[in-house]
Amino acid sequence: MSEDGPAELEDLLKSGVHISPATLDEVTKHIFEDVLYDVMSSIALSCHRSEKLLRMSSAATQVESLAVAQLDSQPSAKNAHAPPPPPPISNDAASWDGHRVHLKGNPLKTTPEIICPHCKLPRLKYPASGKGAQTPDMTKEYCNLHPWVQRPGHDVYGNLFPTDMAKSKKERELQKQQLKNADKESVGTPGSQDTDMTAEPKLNTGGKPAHYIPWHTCPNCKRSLLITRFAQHLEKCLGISGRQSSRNAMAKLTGQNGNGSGMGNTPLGSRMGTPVPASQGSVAAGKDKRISPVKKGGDDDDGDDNETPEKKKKKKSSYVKKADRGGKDGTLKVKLKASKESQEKEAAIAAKRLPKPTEGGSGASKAGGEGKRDRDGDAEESPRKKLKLTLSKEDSTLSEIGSNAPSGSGN
Amino acid sequence: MDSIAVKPPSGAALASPKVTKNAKTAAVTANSMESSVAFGCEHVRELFEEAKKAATRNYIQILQTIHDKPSIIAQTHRSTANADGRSVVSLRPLYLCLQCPNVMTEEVRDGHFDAKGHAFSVESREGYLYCHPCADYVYDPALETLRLQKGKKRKHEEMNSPDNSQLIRHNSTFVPCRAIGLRGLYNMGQTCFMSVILQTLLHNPFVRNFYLAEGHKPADCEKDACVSCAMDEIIIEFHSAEKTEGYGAVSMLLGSWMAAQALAGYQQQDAHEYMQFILNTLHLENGGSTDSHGSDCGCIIHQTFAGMLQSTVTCDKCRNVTTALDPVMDLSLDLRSQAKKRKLQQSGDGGDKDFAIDIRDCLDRFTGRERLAAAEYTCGNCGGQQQNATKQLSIKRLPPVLPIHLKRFEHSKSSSSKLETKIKFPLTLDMYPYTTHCKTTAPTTKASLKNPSLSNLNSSQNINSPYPSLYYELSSVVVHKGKIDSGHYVSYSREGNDWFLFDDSKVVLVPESEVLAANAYLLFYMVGALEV
Repeated sequence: MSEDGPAELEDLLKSGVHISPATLDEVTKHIFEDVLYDVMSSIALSCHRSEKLLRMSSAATQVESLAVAQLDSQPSAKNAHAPPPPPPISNDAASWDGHRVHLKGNPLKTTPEIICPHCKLPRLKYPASGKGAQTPDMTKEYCNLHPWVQRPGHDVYGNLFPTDMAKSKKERELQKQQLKNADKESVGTPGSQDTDMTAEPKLNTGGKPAHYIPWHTCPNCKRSLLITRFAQHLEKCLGISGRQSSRNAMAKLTGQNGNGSGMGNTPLGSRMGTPVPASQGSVAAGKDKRISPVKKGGDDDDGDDNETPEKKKKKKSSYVKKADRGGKDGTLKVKLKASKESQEKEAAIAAKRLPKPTEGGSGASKAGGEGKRDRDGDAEESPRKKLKLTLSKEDSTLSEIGSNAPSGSGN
Repeated sequence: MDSIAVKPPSGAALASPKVTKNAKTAAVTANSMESSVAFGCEHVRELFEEAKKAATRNYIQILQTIHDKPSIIAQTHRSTANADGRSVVSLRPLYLCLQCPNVMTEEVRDGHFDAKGHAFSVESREGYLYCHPCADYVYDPALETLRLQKGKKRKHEEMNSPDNSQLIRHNSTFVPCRAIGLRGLYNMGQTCFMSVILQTLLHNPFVRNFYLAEGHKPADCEKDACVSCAMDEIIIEFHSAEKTEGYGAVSMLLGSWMAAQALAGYQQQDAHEYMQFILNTLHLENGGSTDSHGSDCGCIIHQTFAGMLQSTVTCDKCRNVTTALDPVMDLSLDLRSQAKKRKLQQSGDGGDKDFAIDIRDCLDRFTGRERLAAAEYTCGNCGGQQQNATKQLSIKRLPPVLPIHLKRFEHSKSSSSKLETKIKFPLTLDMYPYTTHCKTTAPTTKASLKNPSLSNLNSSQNINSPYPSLYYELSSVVVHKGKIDSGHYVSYSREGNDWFLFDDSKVVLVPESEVLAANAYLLFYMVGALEV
């Protein structure tokens, strides 16, 4: 209707009916007030409805809980269940006649609390911290669905944001140690997280301390590692190197050829332990900030975390093999003396360059990568590779094989 | 901030309430399902026990009057102020008596009860039932169902039979109260592009319900590293575990890398590219066919996202019209030309105009007429000659959820860049003006459709609206922060009336204004009221 109002007025004006400015003022004012009234009444009503529905279900939940409690205490009535209707059970807000709940009076007045229909516990009315917070009655138990917390640095559950996602392993361990010590002393805890944990002893916010980062088992190699390092690990583990990294690696390689020695920005010798330089290679200058902690600790971290010394040895031995292969692979002879690292890179890239035109970026996994190798016509290389795969499931080997796969650049 | 006195850590106290709670509630929930009242109030109960049929019939009639007939009927009452009984049209809500054909103002309503004893009246805007003895609005379960259906019959009515509810009662359990799907996703190392898309899918009711209803059963799935299984795993976890910390979507990452080599690797990716990938993969893994054109595919992804674009090319010489249909999963809107145009305007107007571009301008341009040079078009009708032509895109079919992609990333041969132009987008978007239906039937009313003062007021999609409209409501926003090659993605999603920011493992409640001020990259609009 509101939309018809102005239109009608317009029609009136057009048809030549004279309206004095005063009347027009009056009419305009009325329309404005009415529309405003409409907006407000609609908001108020929808708010009223949602609150009243909650109270209605709370009243029903309460009386049903009461009924269940009473029935439980009289086992005979429980067995009878339906046929002889038990006497209605009621409280101030509602009554229960055996199968249905009937309201008594207005639940907005009779039922002050909102009871969770699922767990039958009262809901907290105000957030426990942050904006609009009120300290709850700690002697009571509440439904775990709390009002959302709005507090800077905290999530909707009132938990502190995870703080040290980017910290290295050493830093984290140091912190853990500190926390442990603090726990033992149990007075004057230094960390702010600790304060927060103890501040609300009974309200279960379901949160983990802010320094908590979960561990997850790699589905590929079954090693356990920090979730925040997962992509980095998985890349190595699956032997994936993206389009960009291959380009970067290529750029580096050509740079090396020109200079005769390694590029300035990646100290090659220092990363003997990393079989695939892709993760580093993909890092553009702008990303350095994000990557730097990883550079410091990441590779060693993932390697050290769960690897047995035995495995490490194996890893090294495979490098020797790679170096050998590099030597036999005609194009790389010159580089042999320069460094093992660069050969390895070149080997990967040389292998990659070949299949590119034939390959369509279709879902090639480890096995697919292997299949492709045969097409390369590198008769000498392929059996070696297969052999290695069966030898150990190490990331160095897998990465070498898989690095062929993702070279197809796209969809 | 934390100035509360430090108490000794009390691990035992933290754990104990949970244990007792579980023990207690187990007994109760075993016996009863979610409780609900039988009637809205004692008076509705009386009414229903006396004359349920008549009351229901009357209520449906009134609802039909409100929603299907011109609203002037429900908004006209007989004036009592001057006692002359003149018909007066009111802009404020009126009350329609449930027991007689009277339409009354709020004041008259009370007198009517005193005089005739008619206890119930229906509010004329939304059809709320007012109970006079209670002196309050009442929400009776049976009548509320009718009200929400606006007096029409609905399919799901048949599904909500007592038998079915019995089945549900005996075969379902409550999920923990806190497990309502609001959890973050850990950044596993440059995986935020994946997290934002996952969050929008997790908060898409169609997709979520599909998985919660066991649409994809990992037990029966034989595929290795299946993305759909990973999706199932996340949604089940989000709706069953009462955890609040983030979640590590490891199997999703592995599945995505295995399925799309282009997206694999420890590096940043484009969220839109990932969305296209995951939608396609989920389509294939949920029974979609590979050669489907979108229209006949019954998979959950196509049911939710598949739209159809119509492209019409008109030859300037012979006026021959060729149309082509193109299935789409999102609308990709060009910003560059808009930004340029706006810049020109600003320099002309002295730059005092609003800097932001409205998404409706982009949609206008997207569906606007476009000149094709002779080199680009060969008319079959004109004997295969190259002719000038006019091309126009329009939306032939709208999906229930419409993703809109704003082309912020510009790739040229030499370089790539990101457009930081601010794009304004509304909470409610009328998609009707961009449909084929609108373009073909009423080209003349286009100008008036764009008139915001008229189209914004029509919230009801009924006979009372001067123009047809198809309202879409904003449901998710994906934002990219930073430069083209490095940056961070965050997303906003709506749950009920609350907006949440998902920033990796963090979940934060945010005001609507923050969402609308965001520099959006992807927008997800969901069909309004789901009744269109």
